Amino acid sequence: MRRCVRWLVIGACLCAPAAGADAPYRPDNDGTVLEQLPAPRLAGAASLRELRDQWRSRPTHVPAALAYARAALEINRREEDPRYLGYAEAALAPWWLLPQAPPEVLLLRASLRLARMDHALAEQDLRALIDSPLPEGPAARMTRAVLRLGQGDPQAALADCQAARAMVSALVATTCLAAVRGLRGDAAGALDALDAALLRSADAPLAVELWARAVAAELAWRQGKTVPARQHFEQGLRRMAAAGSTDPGLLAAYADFLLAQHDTRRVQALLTPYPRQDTLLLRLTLAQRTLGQQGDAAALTAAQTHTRHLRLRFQEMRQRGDRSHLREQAMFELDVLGDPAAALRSMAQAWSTQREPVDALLYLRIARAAGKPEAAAAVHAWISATGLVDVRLEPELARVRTPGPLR
Amino acid sequence: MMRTVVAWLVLFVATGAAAHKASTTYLQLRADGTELSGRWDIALRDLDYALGLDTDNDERLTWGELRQQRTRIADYALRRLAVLADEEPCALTVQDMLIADHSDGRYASLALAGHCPHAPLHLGIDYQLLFDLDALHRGLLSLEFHGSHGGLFGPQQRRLRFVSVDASRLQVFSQYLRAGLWHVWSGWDHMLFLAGLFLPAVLRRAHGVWVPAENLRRTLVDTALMVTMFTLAHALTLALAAIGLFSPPTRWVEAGVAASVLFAGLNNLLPMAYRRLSWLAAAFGLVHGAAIAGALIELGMPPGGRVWALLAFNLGVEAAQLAVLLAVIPPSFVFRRTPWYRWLVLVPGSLAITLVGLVWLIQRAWGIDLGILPG
Repeated sequence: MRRCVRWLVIGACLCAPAAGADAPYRPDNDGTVLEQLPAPRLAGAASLRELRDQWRSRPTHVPAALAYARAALEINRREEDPRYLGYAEAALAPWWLLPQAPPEVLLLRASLRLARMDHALAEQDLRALIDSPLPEGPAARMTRAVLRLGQGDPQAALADCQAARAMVSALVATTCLAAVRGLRGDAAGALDALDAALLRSADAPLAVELWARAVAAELAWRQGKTVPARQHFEQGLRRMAAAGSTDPGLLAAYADFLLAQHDTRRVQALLTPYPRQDTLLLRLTLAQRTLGQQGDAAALTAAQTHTRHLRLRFQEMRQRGDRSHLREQAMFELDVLGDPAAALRSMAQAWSTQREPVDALLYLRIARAAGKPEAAAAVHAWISATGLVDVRLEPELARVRTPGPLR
Repeated sequence: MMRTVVAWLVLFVATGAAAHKASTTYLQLRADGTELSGRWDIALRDLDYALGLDTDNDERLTWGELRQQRTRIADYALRRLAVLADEEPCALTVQDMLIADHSDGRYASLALAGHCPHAPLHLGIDYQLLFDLDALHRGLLSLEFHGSHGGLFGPQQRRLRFVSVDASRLQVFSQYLRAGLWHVWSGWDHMLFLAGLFLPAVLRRAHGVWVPAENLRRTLVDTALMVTMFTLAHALTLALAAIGLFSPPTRWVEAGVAASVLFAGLNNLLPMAYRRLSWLAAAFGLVHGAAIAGALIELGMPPGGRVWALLAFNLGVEAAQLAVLLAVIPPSFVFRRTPWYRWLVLVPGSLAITLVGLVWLIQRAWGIDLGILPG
């Protein structure tokens, strides 16, 4: 039965390969269903369209625009569908370029600018909010802390975690500090503190717990402790499923972990329900390629179909000037297309905006595959600047050290 | 067991297998002489979000629902796309609506056909679809126009322009000649300034009395001289600006043009200058030339054909002015001695020109929108 479903997916993808390349046709029956229309609705709130219509009738009314933009952003968090980001940005259009916008607008605008990788402008918005006595103040601090963690600057993130500490929940504060400590070489101490905080915060909000679980799993994996890492991922997934929600970031991180453990069957089972999200489809493709090489013909066919699809998708993102998936593009170019030179170009660009240990590992792998280990000099500099200790990086670093020191 | 699997399958199929990606349309256009053809694929999901196509609200869009609303869809799309042949709009229609399968779902595929007033030297495409609803929407253009071109429309890039690189000199010449003619006939400030100069050509106020002109030939030659001086001055600044030797500040140039209109009107009522009007026309010609330089630079200079283009443009301006002169002066000459020419044409006309010039001057120099007149 499961196999049937998979064939169904393959069938649906096969008939839709190219971006505008295939000939248009006229359906022969008026009853033919052409599109399932998403009608997203947040629990206890009006539907997105109702909020949209309220906003359209008063496009410069701040509360109406905010309600619509927030709902769209929340739905995007669940669905990872960039259309919702575009809707939210359109709702903020009257304030999009204003240096001084209402604080609620500034915070939303910062989130949207982060999503489209406009880090400098997002930082400007956050800076304008950070000392505000309003609730947007600590929220901006935490957002900036997360941004700086993603940019691989634990020192700067630390200042924001500490400043926001008194105004956020214990689990949020501990997760923030644990992420910082982990990047500065104390993953073990950070994980202990985070484990303790998780035990004390059984009723944490969904988004907070998922963030804490993802950080904890990453801290454990970084130390080579795969059993607790897997436990944290699984607990996060259970919480996610119980809430009927989806967290594409957590799923992608878990899939990376499972791929590193060569648990490709689990990746396939985990990600098959999410063929619409490119970040997840990429990991599914990597798993199915491996399964295909081991003789699973159906997985191989699926992987080939997904590969065609992803190739078009990345090509279109480049045409659109969209920089939000450069890491995934580099992964795709290295591990699927086997084009390390292209992957190196994408990764160099990605590294300018995001520097997490997974990026460091990917960059080192790509540089080695391209035969240019010196191209990843920025990674070495970053590791020595932060003091990061990560067992996953060790084999790559050892390879570089052996023929002669790079630094 | 069986039941749960089936339920899951139904759920899965119901959510669809299409991938999430940012909203994009695919616009293929082909411009061949004056004829346009093309195909525009717009996601059904986007059309529904903008137009509410799901008339029975069952969250499923059928071919029947779509087919019945073809006109709405076509109107919506065409109002947001314009193709311009050297700034003149081409007529565009939707010939047919089909369905195209894309990786993220189904799209309405609009078959486009169109006709331009002439074979364009510059092809402009204005794209306004969906930006009001989705700031991340983009239009991907693939154009055949003297070779293949690609392009990307976004909220900050709503117009793309393409230049025919292999246009002949004759094409360049005729296009810019037409642009020059068009500039006079459609440009209100140019027309009003000329009217201000022409109105008193057959009758002017001197020493407190109206003096009719003595002979038509003399009047025509004088006026033509004035017009030509204007054009020569106009050509000079226009050439300097178009070559990039100077770039006049738009606001003050526009205000200067308004002042010239004001002066031309006022001078008929309270004569300040009635001799050497040609030199005055030349002085104002310098200002007008600077004003339209901006517009001409916007239209773009053909690579390698600047001299031809400028010459043609100015000849167009001159020809249009002379045509206006020939149409206006002889009838005015015939009626110049009648009182109604004086009190129903000359004085009210000059008053109107004076007022318009004054309003423009205030709007342009101080940036105050009086809400009376455009521009």
